[in-house]
Amino acid sequence: MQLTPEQALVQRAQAGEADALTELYRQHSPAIYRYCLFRVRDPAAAEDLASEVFLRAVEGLPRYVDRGAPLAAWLFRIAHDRVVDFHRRAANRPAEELSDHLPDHQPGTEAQALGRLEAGRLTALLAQLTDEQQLVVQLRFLEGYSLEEAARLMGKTTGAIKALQHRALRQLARQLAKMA
Amino acid sequence: MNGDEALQKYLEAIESGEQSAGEAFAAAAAAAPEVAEALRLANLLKASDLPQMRPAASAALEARLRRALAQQGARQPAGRVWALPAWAQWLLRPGPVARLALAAVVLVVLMAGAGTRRAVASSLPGTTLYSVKLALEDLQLSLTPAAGRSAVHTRLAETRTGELAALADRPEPASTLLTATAGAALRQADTALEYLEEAPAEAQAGLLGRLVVAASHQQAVLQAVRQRVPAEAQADIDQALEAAEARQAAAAARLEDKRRPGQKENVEAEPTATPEPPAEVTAASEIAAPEHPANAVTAGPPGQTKVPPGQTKVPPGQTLAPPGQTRLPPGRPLKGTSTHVPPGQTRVPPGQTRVPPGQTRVPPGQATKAARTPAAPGGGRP
Repeated sequence: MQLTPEQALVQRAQAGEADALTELYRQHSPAIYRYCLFRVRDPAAAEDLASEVFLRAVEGLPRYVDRGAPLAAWLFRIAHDRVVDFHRRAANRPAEELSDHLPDHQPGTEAQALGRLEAGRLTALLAQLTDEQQLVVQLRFLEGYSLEEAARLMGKTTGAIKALQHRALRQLARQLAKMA
Repeated sequence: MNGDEALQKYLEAIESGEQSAGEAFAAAAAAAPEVAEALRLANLLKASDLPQMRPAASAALEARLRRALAQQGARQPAGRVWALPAWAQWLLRPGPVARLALAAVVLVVLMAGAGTRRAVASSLPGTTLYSVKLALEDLQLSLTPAAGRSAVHTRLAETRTGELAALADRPEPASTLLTATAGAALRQADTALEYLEEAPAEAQAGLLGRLVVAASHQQAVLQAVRQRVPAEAQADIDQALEAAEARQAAAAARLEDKRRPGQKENVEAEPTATPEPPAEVTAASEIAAPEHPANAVTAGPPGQTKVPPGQTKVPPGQTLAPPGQTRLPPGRPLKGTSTHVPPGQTRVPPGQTRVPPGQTRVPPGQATKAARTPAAPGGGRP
């Protein structure tokens, strides 16, 4: 069976080829970083979490088995585990340590007036969604995954993704209206 | 058509270029205002500024991952720099059928001409024949009793060190291959140390002396090659150097322990007292033995006197560190370092099972479905 380019890269990385690993990292690190950022809303913490994700991925690479899902599904799952762990640790920290990291929610920036969302506001907006809604919005409208790719990555049917993305956008519209 | 389907239809029309965003929005607004609002928001999201990791942080992580991958190569068992081919993995499985098949393959190799045996023995990491060499080493180990394992692993550590020197002699040595091979040598040295107590008492000091020399040789090679690799690869070489220093210190500390009063007689014993593997394994080992300069297993660094076979006696107050080199790296204590395990390295004591790469443990994120949090991406997969 013909290997996809990503499968070939994974095999080369599993064989210890650093260039293949670098290529995989460059392909996936922006999305993994944003996945973490949208959930912890602290750029420094998101960088730390992204580091943990990829270091764990390297650690698990020799045992990684391609079961038909894209590599990103595995990486997002590791990221999910890291984020859950982050919040569990954060719950044990004093509240004042966390408050500094929260971005402001002030609406009406120049960027929005120009018809786009600036990064901080986008992060704050997505924080209002459920975890699945955040992911579908990120995959479909920020990372450019197709409906089918998002479905494979999230382990859902395309019909479920259609419904999920629509609900997520409606929820965002309500949040925007409220914030305005 | 419900709202979900309608939204997707307009999104696809935009993605395919069939309609502009404005046209799609106008059409949606006429048909279903709620869908039009979702479509407007989708387009707003697509045009948004995406948060990015700081370039410096991203570059640092990238370098860290490369180092982690090189270290990981050093942690894999059996001194393997490259994965064995499928046929070799099948042959090395436990079980009577595989054993018989393996014996047949070994027989064929043993009956092959001297040229073939020499080619296998002198093969270097990155070549096809190298897999055969590793398979034969694995075979030899699988048939070696515990008492002889430390000796075999010591010889393999020396073999890997010889390969490292041969790789370093190339005009443009690949730093990843060098660090992986250095890691494989260190792993063999680790395993040799783990099995040391199983070896006959009279052979232990000799084995330790050889491990000290091998680690020292590695450092000499790595230091020489460090100047010739690109700047970005020097950190990896430095890490390999540090690991080699740590192994040298560990072996030297064990050697010092053996030389304590009441144990000196062990130091003066001949290393050849180590039990030899079964006859057929010895024959197999000849294939992987040092016919190539790269496998000059007992040789020290260039310009350094080779430790003659059987002459492992260490003068009082000295270790077997090569002339001109510090016996122990500065700042490293003599005592208590024998249990030192560098970051990222794992020791498996004799008698315990090493987790084979790839099969029995579940990688992070590939947890069983029952163990997953429902909201985790990927549903029931991968």
